[in-house]
Amino acid sequence: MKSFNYKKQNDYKWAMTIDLDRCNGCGACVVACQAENNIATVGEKQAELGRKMHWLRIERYIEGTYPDVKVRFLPMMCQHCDYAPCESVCPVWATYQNPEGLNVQVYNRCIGTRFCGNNCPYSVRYFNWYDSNFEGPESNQLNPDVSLREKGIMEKCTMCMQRIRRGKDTAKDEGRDVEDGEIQPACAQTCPTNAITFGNINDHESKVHELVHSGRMIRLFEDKGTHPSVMYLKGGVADVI
Amino acid sequence: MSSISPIGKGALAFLTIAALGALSGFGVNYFGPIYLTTHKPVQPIAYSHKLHAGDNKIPCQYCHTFARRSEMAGVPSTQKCMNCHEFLGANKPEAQKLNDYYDNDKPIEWKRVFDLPDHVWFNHKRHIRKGVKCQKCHGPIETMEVVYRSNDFKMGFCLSCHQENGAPTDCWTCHT
Amino acid sequence: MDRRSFLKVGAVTASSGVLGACGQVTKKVIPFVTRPDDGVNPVDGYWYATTCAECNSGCGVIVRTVNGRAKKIEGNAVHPVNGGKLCAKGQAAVQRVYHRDRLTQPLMRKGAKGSGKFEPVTWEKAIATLGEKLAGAEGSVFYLNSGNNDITAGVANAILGKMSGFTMATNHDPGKESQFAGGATLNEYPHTPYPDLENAEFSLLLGADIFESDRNPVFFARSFGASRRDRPSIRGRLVYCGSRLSSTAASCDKWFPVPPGYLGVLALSIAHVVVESVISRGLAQSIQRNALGRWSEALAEYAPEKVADKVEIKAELIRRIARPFIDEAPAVAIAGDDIAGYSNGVEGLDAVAFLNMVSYEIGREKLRIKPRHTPVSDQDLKQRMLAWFGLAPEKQTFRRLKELVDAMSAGKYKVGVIHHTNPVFDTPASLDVKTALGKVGFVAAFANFMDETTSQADLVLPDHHWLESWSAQVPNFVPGVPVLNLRQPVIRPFNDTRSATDVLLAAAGKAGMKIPAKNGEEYIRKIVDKFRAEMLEIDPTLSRDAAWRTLLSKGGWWPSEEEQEPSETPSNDKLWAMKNRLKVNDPSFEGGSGFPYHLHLYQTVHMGRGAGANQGWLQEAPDPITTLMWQSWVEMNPATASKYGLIEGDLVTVTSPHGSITAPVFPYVGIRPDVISIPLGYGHTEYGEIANNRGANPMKLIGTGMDSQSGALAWRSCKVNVKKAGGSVVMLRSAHPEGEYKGEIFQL
Repeated sequence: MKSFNYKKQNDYKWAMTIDLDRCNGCGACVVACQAENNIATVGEKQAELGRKMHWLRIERYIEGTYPDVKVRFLPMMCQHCDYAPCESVCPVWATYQNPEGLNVQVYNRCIGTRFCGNNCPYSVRYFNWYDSNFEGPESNQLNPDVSLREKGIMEKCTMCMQRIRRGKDTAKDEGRDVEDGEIQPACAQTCPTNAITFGNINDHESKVHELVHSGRMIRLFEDKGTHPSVMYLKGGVADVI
Repeated sequence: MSSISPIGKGALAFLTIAALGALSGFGVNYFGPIYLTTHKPVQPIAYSHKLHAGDNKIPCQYCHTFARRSEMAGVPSTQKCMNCHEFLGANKPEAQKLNDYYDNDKPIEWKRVFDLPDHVWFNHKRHIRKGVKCQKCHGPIETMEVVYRSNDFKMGFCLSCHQENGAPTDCWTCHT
Repeated sequence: MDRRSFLKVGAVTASSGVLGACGQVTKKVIPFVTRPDDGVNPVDGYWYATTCAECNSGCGVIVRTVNGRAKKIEGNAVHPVNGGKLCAKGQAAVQRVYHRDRLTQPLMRKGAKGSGKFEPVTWEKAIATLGEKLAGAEGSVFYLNSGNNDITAGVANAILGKMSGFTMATNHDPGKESQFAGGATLNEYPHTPYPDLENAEFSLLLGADIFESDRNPVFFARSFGASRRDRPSIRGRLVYCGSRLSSTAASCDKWFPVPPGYLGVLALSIAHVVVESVISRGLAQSIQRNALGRWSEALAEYAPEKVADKVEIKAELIRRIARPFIDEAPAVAIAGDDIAGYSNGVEGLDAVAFLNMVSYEIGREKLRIKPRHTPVSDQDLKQRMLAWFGLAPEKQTFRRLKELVDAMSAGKYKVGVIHHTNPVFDTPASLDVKTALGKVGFVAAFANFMDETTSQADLVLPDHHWLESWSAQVPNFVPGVPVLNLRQPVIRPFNDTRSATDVLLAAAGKAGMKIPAKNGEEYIRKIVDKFRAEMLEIDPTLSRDAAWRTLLSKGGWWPSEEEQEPSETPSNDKLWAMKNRLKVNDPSFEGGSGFPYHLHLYQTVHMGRGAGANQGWLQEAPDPITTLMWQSWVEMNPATASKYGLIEGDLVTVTSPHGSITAPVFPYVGIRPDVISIPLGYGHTEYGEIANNRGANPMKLIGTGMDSQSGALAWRSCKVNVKKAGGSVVMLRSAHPEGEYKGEIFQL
């Protein structure tokens, strides 16, 4: 049995909250994620085969019948589960839980069995069917902090590991801990409604800690026991007028 | 092998070739030049680290000024070379090449010697600040007339040192 | 094969593998020639402040550049409009800089006019030709842009404005244009006042798609988030009324499907309830009783019981919607496209403005904080800024564009300059800009990409991308505070392009015309000098250069938070005089009995009017409501679709009095059964590989009907018929790969 008492061993356990009452489904996070993480567009033909690569996508649910219709949005990315179903099926240990609570994908190790993608209840792991297609002048826009994934390996949300790394690096230079709000993944930074909050849940002063304990927190597929680090804040009332 | 029929032999040959193909792919990846300790490309200017860093004892970070400030050590700008070479050895052929580059506002296209495999991230700053000597990874660079890769930079090379010094060994410390 | 030969083959294969790889592996390290600042981390790179130009909203951005390449755009956290946030279009802007379809050199028309055949020319020749044409254009020249109030327009005005017969016209986004209309009649504002969504407890969105196509989607999204959850004990509630459940409506708590064109009537009905309540409760000590009586009289015919059938909301419900405007403060009504896009648009906008003002008056009685309006004094400052730019404050609407196009068709123009706008594609096809452009003597187009309009030009001048050029802008729609946005080149030009401002100045200079500055940068610096001389907000001890650098590093100028005066409501004189305007006529529609359905065009968050259609990121980003990618669609209520035997993906032909298009059906329960809805931005024909022949352009369907008072395009007042076209296509839905999750996973 793994121990998840990170506080004893580590200063950081990263967590994210997504406020569903704030999310307006605008998709800015989706494009920000693509721009930050050098995610390729797959094109019409591949998209038709369900091979699009968005690490972060927005699920949309339509409830009710005309005229009592309600549409909901749910941003969905790797949930960074503490008990991740993807980890146990990887034959080469390319995916595991790191000490800071992140679900790690090691591209060098991955051999592309796609077992993890199959076992992920959230379907947030994406397989590279082709090498990424940043050709000609387009390669100039690539983020130098993030490596390009090649054909045949799985990839997924890293919670913008490169930003976490740089944040920790800066803090270490200055001889302090990472401050709350100092590290923001690309999605959280751009979110126009401030729906996404990222932080260190071991820090009890942090915004993310406050939100997780606001009484509105839910985890997706709680019954599956995956214990995700990405938590959603539900909200909304039935009668508004 | 005498019991194998001619058809069987053909199949075996096919399988062997297929296996060899796979192996050679592995070979390129694993024994490719990126790991060869003899990787010693010819540079556009025959710059001698022995002369600069060894004989004249110019500190590494005089030129590679970003090593202590950033992930990259940084190759100095042509302007930095010209700080000295505007006057020093201006009549020597290699210095003249440098002058030509500078006067024509053309960057020098150095060939990369020290490179890491894909999906590996290395931070110079962290190591320099910790007090790791440049030579620990780059070898006796102050004795090299032409720079060559003195270590293989395989994961074992990094990990052994990390383990000795209690540095983090989590995959995402270096990979993604 | 024996062991020996195995080894031989093995050795050869391995070594050839290595040799083969050796050939490709010489990676290069290319340092700078001139040393960058030592203090900068070369990997993290530089961050420069500038202003986004993907639409005209004017969001401040910071751009990360590494090794002279733009890598990532983020919102500028100190900017009052977007406060560090950015939309999908802004995030995708780097893709346009390094786009493979970018124009890289000036092109001169080779074949017949409008044939789209060009030959490359040198910049010297292009500038000389433009100068020659401009100099000889006395009496008949026009400048057409997208209405972004930038310095290129100012320079064009300064150079050409002195000529007789100079026309400056704008091809406005219909979603934004409507907001000019709202401000035009009720008060002196150049546009409808910004509603204070952030501090409202109850917001009534009357067809206002504020997260998609309104004045500034990012600003509204920020306000929305704050209204929902920034206040500890108050959760802002939102109700949306309109004919389609847009992605904005999806964020609201409740949607009421109201028949197209009757939202203004609903607003007056709510106002009726509010006024009657004020009278009956005797709340009106300070409100002039005469006015109250007049209003009551004028609004009598809008009693909920009388209009319930028209707006298809029960009278009881209308009264309940009105309640927050009476006794639960603060409440605000926001008007948008689905009010403004009809022939009675301005009446509807006025009705909503009236509802807000009456509600505000009651609120002041009870010392409540009330939604703010644009302060008048700030508008004065904005006019001054525009004057420094060399721009006249004009409320330009579609009528002006139509007059221009008509004059073009009549052969009245010798020369035209088009700056980053694509009217051939994004104005109604019935306006026929394409033919009109063919009758202009000489058309010069500044653009980044070849598109439907640029291909009609005689001279194509590749402009810098906005990340590569100097510019400045006074955005038209800013919330409360006036903003001077600066744009600086954050990277060196990637191609052999030149800034439109510089080219205009060079061309005019060459032709011996009087020019206001040598180049764009100098023109902006002159503006900033005037700014320093008149405003004194910038520390006067700073030198000219230091002040300039301070402004550039911030991204522009706006009042700091302490300097912003508390918002005031404008004088109520107009409010008291409202009586005659308290009337919303029934909308009139194009198309007779053969056209049973209302056509509801809209802009999606990613595609807008179609400028983003050549960007892979935006094409592949799923539309929020339909989750469709890479294609356009026709939304129909499932009941309507089944009437024609249509299921998802079946092709359907939509016909209007003006034309017809064919696209696949997307059955959507969030749309009225008498409404057909189609997104704009698809169906390009000359906008590069990614955009071309993808979907259908619904601008082919609508006419050029306008709101008679404001002259705004009544882009939703067309009726259509549908017919099964036969055949079907695969719908690229970005749903969960293994089928959709059901609602039960998150019970809200």
